[in-house]
Amino acid sequence: MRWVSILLMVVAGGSLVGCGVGDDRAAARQTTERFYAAIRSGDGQAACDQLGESTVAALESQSGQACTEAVTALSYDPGEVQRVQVFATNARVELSTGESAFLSPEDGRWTLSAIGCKPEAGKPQDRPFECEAEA
Amino acid sequence: MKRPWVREQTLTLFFTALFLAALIGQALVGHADFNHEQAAHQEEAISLGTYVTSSVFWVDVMENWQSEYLQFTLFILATVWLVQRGSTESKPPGEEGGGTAEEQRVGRHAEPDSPEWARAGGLRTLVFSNSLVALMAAIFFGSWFAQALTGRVEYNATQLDHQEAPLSLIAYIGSSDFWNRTLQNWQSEFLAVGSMVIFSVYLRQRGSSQSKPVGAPHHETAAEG
Repeated sequence: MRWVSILLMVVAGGSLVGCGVGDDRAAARQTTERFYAAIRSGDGQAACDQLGESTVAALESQSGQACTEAVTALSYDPGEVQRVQVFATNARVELSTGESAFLSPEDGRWTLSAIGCKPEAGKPQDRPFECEAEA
Repeated sequence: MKRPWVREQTLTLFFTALFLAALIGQALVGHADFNHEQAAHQEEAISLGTYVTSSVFWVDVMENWQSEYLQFTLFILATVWLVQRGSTESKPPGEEGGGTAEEQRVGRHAEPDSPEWARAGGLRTLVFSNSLVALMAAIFFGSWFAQALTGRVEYNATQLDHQEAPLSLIAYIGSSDFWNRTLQNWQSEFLAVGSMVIFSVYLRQRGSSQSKPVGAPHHETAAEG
């Protein structure tokens, strides 16, 4: 019986780990909602505050502008948050429009590592998404 | 004089200690390796506590456990019906099968110190007669399932890191990542068992229960030294 208990704990532990943490999903959702709210209101600073350091640097490098200006000039397809998935140290938030945002933890909070992402048109699902900006 | 209990459990204690040491070592170097990869991707390092409770660690543990218990399951079952002349891992040719009740000392053929379920007959004896392979198979299926769950998390973390879509559990079980992890472990297990079966025909290790006596002929089967 002891071996059965150990086996069940291993399987249960695997199940818990496989499901992701509820707090992480809530935090990733919150960051994404704050970002799109800032974009809708034209608040570049608030939007950039939700991005990771590497994402800010990449955005400024690709645009030649400060993040606060560049972030509101990108093309988005915002919608309601439809699904949040967290796997270890990465998360994806899917919007009702088909656009996704990708996140990873930085300094104890979830920040955006890629924004304005959509699957490449006509490509198989195992290809990287095309994103407006990514780290 | 009665031997101390510990002196009669040294084989189990030795391998339990080795297992714990290796698992702790795996956790430490795996943690360092993971954080090295995190730094290379300009991502945050994680603590040891976070690492050993993560899918990244447990998929590596589970993929090894499932293959070990599959090895035992198949080996225990195969040795009921298959033979290798001269091997210490085999019954003598001609003795294939489950054996008679008298040979297995079950039911009315049980001895005074036989296990109770060997004597009981009926379902209890049937269950006990297959309990070894049942437990090995249960641990195999459980750890293989855990490998699927944790492997999916680890795989999808990499997918998201590359801005690619994550897989469902069903899709992951059909993926090359799952089967690569599975088959790379299976090939080594089957090689190890096969090696032991045939090496023990021709080679010796004096004093080991896994070897024939040094002077035993090569054709002598199932003799242990």
